[in-house]
Amino acid sequence: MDSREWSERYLQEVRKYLPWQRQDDIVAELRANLDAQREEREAELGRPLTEGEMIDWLKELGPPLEMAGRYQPPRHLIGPTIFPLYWHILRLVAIWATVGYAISIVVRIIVESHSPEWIGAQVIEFPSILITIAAWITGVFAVLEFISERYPDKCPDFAAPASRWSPASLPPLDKQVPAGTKPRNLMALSAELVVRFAVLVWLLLIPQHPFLLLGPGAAYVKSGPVVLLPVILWFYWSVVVLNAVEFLWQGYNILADKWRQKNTLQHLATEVFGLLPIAILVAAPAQAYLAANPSATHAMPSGLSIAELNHYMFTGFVVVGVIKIVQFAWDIWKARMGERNSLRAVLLP
Amino acid sequence: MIPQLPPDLLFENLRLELRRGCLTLAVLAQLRQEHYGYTLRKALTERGLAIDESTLYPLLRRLELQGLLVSEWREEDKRNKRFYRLSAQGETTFKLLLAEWQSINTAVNNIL
Repeated sequence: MDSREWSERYLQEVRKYLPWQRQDDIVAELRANLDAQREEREAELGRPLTEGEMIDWLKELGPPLEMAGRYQPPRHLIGPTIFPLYWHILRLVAIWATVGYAISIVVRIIVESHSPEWIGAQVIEFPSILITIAAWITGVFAVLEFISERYPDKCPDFAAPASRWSPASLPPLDKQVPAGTKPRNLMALSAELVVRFAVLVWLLLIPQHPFLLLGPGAAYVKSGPVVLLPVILWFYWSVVVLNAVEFLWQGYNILADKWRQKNTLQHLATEVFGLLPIAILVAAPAQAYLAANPSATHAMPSGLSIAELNHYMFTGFVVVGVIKIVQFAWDIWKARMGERNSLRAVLLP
Repeated sequence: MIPQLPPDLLFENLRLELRRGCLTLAVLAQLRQEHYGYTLRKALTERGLAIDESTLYPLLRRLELQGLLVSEWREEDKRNKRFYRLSAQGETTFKLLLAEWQSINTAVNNIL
């Protein structure tokens, strides 16, 4: 690994703990300063810095958490020594709380039987649970800060892990965003997450409140000439699960600071999951989606039969399925081309 | 009751407190001339005031936010760098701080 890659790995790690609005600016400035310093050292030595020299130099700079912590605005509750650790733990707990909560809801849905309103209520309740957890963590750290300020000899040394930090533990560089690709924007991704959440809640409320999907036509469905067969319910739940997975995945990416570039594997996995609802429809028994409604008060429009309707629907689903498969194949091809270009960019900088 | 710190920790706290104010004054003094982070650090070190990167670079940001410095991105040696210098408010504040520093220095010398 060359000396530049070492400093890039260091900067990549510093970036994760910087205030997000100023990340790019601060990292660009740090990069300019570190590069100038590294080049001067190399010019003095007449050779590139060795791996050992780079490790020693990065150790002098201090752990990325500590470097980034100095850029945080002054805080009265939790000071700069403890703040990076606090922030790190807060993020980890937020991720695991989200995962744990999601799993517990899914398990309760499977084991007990709950209405969509109950699921919606659990989802809506989650932000308040997160806030409570964050308040507890903040409280614990505020107490630690108080104790470490006043009784430093009786308190664990929070700076000790910093002295044991080694640049060798820096994670490898993320893949570069291909040239010409628009960089991702945290605000846009967060807005997208909020929309995903709203869509999920909307989906969950549809079974009890069909007017959310059909509008005034919902009243007609009850007394209409056809009823939906169970395969449509399977389709519905697969769409709910797909949306829930995408919501959790995106939430995880934002909280774990993995949002800067599109994760190709995640994207392709979502595409595969995306095929599932349409596959359920295409594989429906006897390709039937609608049946006659025994309590119908309205007759079918003349010249139209349920069998014909089912046939048209099946044809439509097959067409959608084919489009999804072609789209999936296109995405795989693009991903492979992207991999090839990234590799080329690394080999021929 | 104010808890008693071990002597080495107490000294370290007092040393840092003393140094903090001096660093700000030294950085303002050096930035009467334009510098970017690394050359500023080198200039301070050459004059006997070594300062860590993790202290200096965030300090520059803080002083800029306080309106004492102005900065601009500019290309030098085919690389974009952020150059800092004193702002008009920074110059006034620097003069006041310098007068204060000199008066404290004289007083402490007299006491010593």
